[in-house]
Amino acid sequence: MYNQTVIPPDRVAVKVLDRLPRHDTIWDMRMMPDDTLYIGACVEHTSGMSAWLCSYRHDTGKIEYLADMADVTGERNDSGHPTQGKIHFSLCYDNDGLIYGATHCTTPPKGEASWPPFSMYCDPIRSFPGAYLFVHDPKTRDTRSLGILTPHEGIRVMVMDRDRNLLHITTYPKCHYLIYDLKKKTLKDLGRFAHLHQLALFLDRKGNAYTTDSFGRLFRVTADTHRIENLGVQLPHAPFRSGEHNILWQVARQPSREVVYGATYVRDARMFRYDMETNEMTDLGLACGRREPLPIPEEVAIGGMTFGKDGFLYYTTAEGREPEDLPRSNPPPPFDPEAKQEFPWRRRTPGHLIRYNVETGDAEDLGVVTSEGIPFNGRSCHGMTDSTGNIYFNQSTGTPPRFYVYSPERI
Amino acid sequence: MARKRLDLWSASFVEEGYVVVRELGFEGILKPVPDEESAILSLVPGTDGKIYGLTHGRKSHLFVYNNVAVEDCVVPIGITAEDVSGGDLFCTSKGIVYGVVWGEPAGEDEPLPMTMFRYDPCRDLVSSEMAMIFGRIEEIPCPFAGRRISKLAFDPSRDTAYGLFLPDNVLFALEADSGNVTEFGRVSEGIVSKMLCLADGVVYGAGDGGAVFRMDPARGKIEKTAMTLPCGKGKWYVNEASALAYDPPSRTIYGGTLLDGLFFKIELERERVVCVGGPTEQRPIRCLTVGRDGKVFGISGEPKTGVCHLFRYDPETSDLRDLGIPHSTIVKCWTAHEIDAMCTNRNGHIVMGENDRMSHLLVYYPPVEAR
Repeated sequence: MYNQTVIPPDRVAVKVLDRLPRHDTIWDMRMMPDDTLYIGACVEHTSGMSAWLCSYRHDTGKIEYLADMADVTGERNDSGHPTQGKIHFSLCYDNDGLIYGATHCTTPPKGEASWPPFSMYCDPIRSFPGAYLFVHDPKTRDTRSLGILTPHEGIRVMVMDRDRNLLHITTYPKCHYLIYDLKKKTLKDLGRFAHLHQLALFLDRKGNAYTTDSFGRLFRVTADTHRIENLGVQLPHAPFRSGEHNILWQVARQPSREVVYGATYVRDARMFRYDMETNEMTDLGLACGRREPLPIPEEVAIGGMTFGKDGFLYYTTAEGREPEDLPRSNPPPPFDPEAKQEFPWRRRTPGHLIRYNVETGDAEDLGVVTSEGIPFNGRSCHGMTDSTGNIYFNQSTGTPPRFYVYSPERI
Repeated sequence: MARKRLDLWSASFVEEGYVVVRELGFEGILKPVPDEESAILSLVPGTDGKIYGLTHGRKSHLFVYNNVAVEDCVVPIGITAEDVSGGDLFCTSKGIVYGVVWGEPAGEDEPLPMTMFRYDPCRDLVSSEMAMIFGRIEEIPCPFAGRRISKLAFDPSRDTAYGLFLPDNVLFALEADSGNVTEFGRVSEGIVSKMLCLADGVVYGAGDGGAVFRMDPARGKIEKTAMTLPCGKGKWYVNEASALAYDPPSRTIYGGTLLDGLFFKIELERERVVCVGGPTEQRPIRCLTVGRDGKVFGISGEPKTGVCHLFRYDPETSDLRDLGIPHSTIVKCWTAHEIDAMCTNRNGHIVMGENDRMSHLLVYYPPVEAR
């Protein structure tokens, strides 16, 4: 069913953060209006390391390593606490061009194999101190901390309402919804909204913010009153599911419409269309038009979702089984570009790039993504588009971290 | 054998015994109490074997939990008041549930908005999904005249609730049937525990410096004892009890402290306080209940900045054990962070009430002991 041809090398290029050879994940990418891509290079499995803020410009092909979160926050990587090892779905920019972001937890303390967030929540030594808000000024290249917003909690997702200078924030592991006013420097905790897991949040033009609870039930936080309003619609899921764990994962706003396209999180990940004006949710089925859920334990991953300049919706996909036990060696196995096969334990299909026509519902599989002998594993959490139409998507896991740039043919 | 690393992520959850989570509604049939109205203030066992609960938030709801095999469900009974920040429940020997709720005054000189209500389950049957009658909450005159009160301790032998008027720390008794309030005077100067406990018809509490006092309603006088609550050295002047529960067979009051999160027992026979220890690194101890087998269950956890843990004290072995964070995947995946109410039901299950924006009942089934 999939197009097994490889996307031609003149269309796709891999960009490797090779100065961070032990970082293993990218959990954030954000395209700024000047076509600079900001990247959060993270550490999921290796202890005692900190996240880096990086940037990339396709016109120069240059990756810049802007800030080490250990330096920005003043939290040493050997502090005994979990480190400031992630920048997670939080990069955003204000009307002055300043870049905001937040750190996130779960990178283990130095020398330890794992870090359980609940067991250590209040431990005097091994607790996470809290996520730091930070701001980067592209003009001065200065990155500075704005402090911890809430103790012990990481920041999972953050988006900015630029009209009101508000940051809409969700935390982990206690899953609270926060609103931080950058001008007044006030923090409002709207309380808990889901069980644990939350991965996406989007705004409409009026500044209302949308996300889902643990059952994929959509709610919004009103722009002016900051009330949580349940919208009475649920993300699509297979009939045998209750919707639990079927949370918002990918969201791409259709240009000039109050409509988003999105996808739910793994396990029969489904695409949907949601109209913010009419509150209508439409199930678009599985990736590539597959309508029937895959037999357990197969799974479909949809990621890297973004609208291209050509009006098509681009996203990545792969099918395959989760590894039974993800190796967590410390340090991780060295990256070997010659091996040309990463994660041999993952029995999943290669990553594909899909182009979806939102008018007709036709999905075109553009083929297998690979570049310079480095195959894309099909797991991506962010897709971005620059002003010239290039499509960027990260590979969520991989050492060193990497992302791919696809240049569509001009239509 | 060492546990797998990935297991560490769930290792803090309760594993001895079992936890089941219940929304505040009849699962799949009734709409549950909405978020922001479901935070549970109080749980009391009724004489009918059911558990009655009271929530706070934009609206306060009275609900009933019928924890029997053929009819395991929560039924919201009705709304008691709006914009409620505090309150309590008690159930009389005749099975009538009384409650008082209050909000915050609109201004500095405004009175405390208070509502008193009663609910008679005998007249209003709550049954299965086939025949469900919600019942009616009846508002009754509030005898407290807008004065702020502490949590209540109820004596079913006299059908009388005891509490403190705050901030003056005046001990009062409220007769449930008549609504008459009797004042017994100020229990102490300084910081006083906002918590009382009934033991064999005598009211116990802790006054300034954690000094234990008692008041026998038959005599009507507040008496000081020689006992004081445990605390870190030098912290006595701000010491308070945050939870108290009485075990009649052993004539022991179990308690927890606000400041240090210490678990202690007051042995009434020997007139002494024994500090058992701190069940977790968090404080305070937020609520306690004595199980049917005499084991004591409690919740320890920092409000807002911590995560609640269920703990157990076994008086036979003196084992004080952190059982972990209440977590369940039945009927849905849920980890409780904030718990401020608990009680024991007729089957010996421990029923816990969440106090969060989205709140649930969590029912703990203690393990069957191996012989």
